[in-house]
Amino acid sequence: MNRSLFPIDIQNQSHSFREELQQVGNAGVAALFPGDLCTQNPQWLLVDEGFTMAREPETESLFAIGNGYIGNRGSLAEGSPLSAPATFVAGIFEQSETPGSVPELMLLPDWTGVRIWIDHEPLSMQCGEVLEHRRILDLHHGTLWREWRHRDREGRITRLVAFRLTSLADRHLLLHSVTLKAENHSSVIRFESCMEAEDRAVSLLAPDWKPRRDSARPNVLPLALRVPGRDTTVAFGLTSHLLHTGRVAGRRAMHMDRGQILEQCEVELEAGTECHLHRIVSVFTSRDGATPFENSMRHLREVVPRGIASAVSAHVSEWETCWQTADIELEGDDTLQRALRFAAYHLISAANPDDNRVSIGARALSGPGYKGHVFWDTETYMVPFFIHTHPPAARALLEYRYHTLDAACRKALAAGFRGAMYPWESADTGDETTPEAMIAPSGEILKIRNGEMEVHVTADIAFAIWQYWQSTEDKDFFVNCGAEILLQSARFWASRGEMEPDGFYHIRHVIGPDEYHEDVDDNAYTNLMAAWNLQRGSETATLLKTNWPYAWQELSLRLRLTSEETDDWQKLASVMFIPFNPQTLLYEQFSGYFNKEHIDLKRYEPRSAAMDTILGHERIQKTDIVKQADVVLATFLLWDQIRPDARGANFRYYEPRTGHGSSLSPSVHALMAARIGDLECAQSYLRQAAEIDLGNNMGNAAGGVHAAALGGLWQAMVFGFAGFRAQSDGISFAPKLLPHWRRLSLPLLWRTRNLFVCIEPQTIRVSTPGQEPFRLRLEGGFEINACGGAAYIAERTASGWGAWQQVRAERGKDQRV
Amino acid sequence: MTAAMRDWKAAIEATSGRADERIQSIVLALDNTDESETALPVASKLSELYQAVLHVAYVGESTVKRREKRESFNLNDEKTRGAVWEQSSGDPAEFVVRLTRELREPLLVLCTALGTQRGKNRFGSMAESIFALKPQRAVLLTPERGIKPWGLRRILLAHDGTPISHPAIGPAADLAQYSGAEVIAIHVAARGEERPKARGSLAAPLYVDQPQHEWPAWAEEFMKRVVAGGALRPGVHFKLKVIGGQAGSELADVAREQGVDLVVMAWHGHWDHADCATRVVVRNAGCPVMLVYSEG
Repeated sequence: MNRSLFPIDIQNQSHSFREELQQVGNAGVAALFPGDLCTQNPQWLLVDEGFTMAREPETESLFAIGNGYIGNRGSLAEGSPLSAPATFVAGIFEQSETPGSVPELMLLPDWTGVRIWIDHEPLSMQCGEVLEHRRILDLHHGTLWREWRHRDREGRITRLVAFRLTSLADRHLLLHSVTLKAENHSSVIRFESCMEAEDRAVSLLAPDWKPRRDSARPNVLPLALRVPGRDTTVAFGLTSHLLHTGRVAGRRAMHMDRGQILEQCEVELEAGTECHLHRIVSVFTSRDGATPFENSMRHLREVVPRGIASAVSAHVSEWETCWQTADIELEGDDTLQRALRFAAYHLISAANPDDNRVSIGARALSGPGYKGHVFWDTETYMVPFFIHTHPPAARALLEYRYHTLDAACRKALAAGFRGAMYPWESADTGDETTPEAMIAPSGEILKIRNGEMEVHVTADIAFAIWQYWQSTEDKDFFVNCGAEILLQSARFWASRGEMEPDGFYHIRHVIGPDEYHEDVDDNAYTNLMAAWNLQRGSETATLLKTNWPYAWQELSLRLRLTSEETDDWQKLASVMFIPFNPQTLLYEQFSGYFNKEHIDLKRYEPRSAAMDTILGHERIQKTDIVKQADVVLATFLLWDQIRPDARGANFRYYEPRTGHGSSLSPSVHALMAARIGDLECAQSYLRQAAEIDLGNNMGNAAGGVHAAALGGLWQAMVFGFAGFRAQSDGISFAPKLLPHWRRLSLPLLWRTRNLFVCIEPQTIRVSTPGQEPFRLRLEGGFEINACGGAAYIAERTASGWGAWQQVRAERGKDQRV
Repeated sequence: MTAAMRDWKAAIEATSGRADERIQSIVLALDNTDESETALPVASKLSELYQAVLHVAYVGESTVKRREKRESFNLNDEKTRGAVWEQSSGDPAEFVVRLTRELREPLLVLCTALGTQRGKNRFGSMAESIFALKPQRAVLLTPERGIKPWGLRRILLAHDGTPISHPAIGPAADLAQYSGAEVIAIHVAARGEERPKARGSLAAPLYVDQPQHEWPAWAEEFMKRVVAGGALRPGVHFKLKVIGGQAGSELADVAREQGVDLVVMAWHGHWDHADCATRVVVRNAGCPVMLVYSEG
């Protein structure tokens, strides 16, 4: 007998959860199974079958959900001994009073906590028998599902299906829904829906803050806390609805104090029936407005009457929109296809185009690793993804560097330099947050010198700004933000080095991307990027003078910049010491690198750890083992200014010497190997890059996903295998498909055009909407003046690629259907 | 922690009903050689620490009366007070293993020299035979240590990051708790070996993007697992150390360098070749080694 679902909530207008899901799915969505709400295509699903407690920390990272504002790990709602549930809000850093401590992304109360009691026995994986358990991350819809069937000690079988999401359509909104079915028992079911703040956060609450309830909505429970070491408040509002088919209305109790919200709902469930708990959470901080508590309450007042279905629908729709410009489709390799979607999913989850005062930390919002700090990873490895898939997100990330420019200038000044010296690690203020020392695994205390010496980050930021400007022609950004960074970073480089008696400009005492070698002179990557930065600084000044003279006038006055100074940058760039040998075509990675002891890395294979762990910190500095792409990265980034014959020569020299001790390394090697046509090597590195998080045995996914490595994977596909390059007057492709790939198609945003590229073994087809013509180039020299609204196709010939042919654009071939 | 959370955890503990695995019987295997007798001080001390009954399993070739055995081994009353003497019948190895299986929560203690037929880098024939039957928990020691008294101040817990190593955690923590010894949990980042593929493995990280973040996080994660594996006991002090190299020789070196009194490690039940890590540790650690059987 079907009974109507009975909402315990006092709101008369509540829909049943089942009805709401049906509205979302436009079909009979089974309440106990994801049904239409969850994507069915396995290439869009990440599934963790069963339960291995020891693997829980990694699983939580991989299955994290986020929307750029808030991130939440994929923890079990009821917890386990190895669970580390965590919620983070971008930009909310706490600062301990301990001397030497650095700000860290604050661990906020876990809003996903739901404990279930069946006849006063806990429903837990640790008790009884797990009959079925899986977590499903729906990458397409940005939703985390859990299916669990459990037999307890009394033989009661209970089935549970839950989903949760952080809304991409309304970034302050979080949803969590649990459906429970008593398969073979009639029992009293008690849900404990809770949210708890850590003690240290609670103790620092504003003295005048008291738990408050909104009289108009007594079902909304608030929790607010002050961020330690910062004048910031975070407020949560939580409302729960329990719906069930039983005849007896449940009992409900609420408990709240300044540290926790706990709501207990109890129902009597008959065998074969089910009940549904859905929870709506709103989060605001004082970064969003002066009254986060009121904002949260107001938000719930708006959201709750519209219902969960409306919220889910808007979220799903937003994700589908994102994928329109971000999804790389690959036919012929399902594992890699899933890895590419996993990468894009986490990158989309990490960015918030509406907040230009935060950036993406090394582990995004998926874990506490790296304390939420922002590195060069963001600009070099992640920003290119956003430039070509969602430029507003790229702009927000770069504006973060604009808002922290003052801190970079302070750092330069304190170190005795001019201009802007960006921190190696950055948090909310933009000040240097690199820890000063660490305890090595050997027990040795090591000084951390990256904050002082790994200065290439400044050029990396400038490089990303120029790429964004070149690919978007976003004049507003360039004139109002980007130009100042380009000028101040060039000014830094003009002060960081020294003209020496040999007539060259040297930059000494640095750490390049190869961090195995500290305090080196004339690191090739650093010097090449610094020279590039000096040139772009000078070019920026010229551009401003020519096109935006008022802007130049304002900026030059404020920065006390003269034409003489910017002209000097060009001169310094031209005498920058670049350790290149035209005979061998090799760049020496730094002065003295070629004299280091050679280590044959093959002798150490296979190995289960990074080379510096095996050899030790001191020993590795004496060898020629390279931690990660250094010269190789420079040849990719500065492709056009590197001699063509030197690109492959340096790759072939440095690749066997690289230990890939950084997760940033395999993707760049895949990219470069593809570009130089070594597909076997490219395939091997591509697999490594795809496995960094998904391989599950790398030993460090517990702290969160490797966001930069995910960006690197996207770059390997787009800039490597598709061979895409954005140039000043157009774009070019140099496609290289692996033998088992049947088709690689990708959308690309370039200068407001939504390009769509489809590469098959014998053809490449590029659709070019928009009006303005541009140059479309192909490896081998063929190029065409491409018109908007057309498609261009080229076919592979025995000697390379044939000429572009213009064809009529077709729906389905030239855009996503 | 809130009251509700405390109730939840208490209910889970009560429902999951973990068995008390405290060692209750020490089985000391002896033959009629001086070498085998070197296991006695260790067995005796372990019996004291666990408050377990000491069973002396005599597996010598000739039948000797109990009193004669005691005299021939020069065992004084202090060391063997309350000991139960068991005489072998049938195959000696099977006798020892059967005895340990019959007893509640046993721990076998023996010298590697037990038995007579020894090949290069092999243990005594009887020791080999006993281990071929995969006892659940055993302490092995080489005869070089002699019969000097044995105490427990420092325990080396070898852990390769895999769930297979987890069973060693509890016994190490137990002993640390009973003896007040400190535990050095050691992880060897191995060369010449593939990364473990078992679900939930936590080997040393392959990618150390920024060591100032990776290592503290990894150490915390490692220790969380160690704690979840049963190491959280009152008064137990843990240290963590990571070294690179060949697992067996590195473990043995650290044991010697740090003056370790007992190495505790999981054992997969096989040591077919003479240079496998377990054999290398047993031979070279310079102290007894507790092997905890773990299905791999």
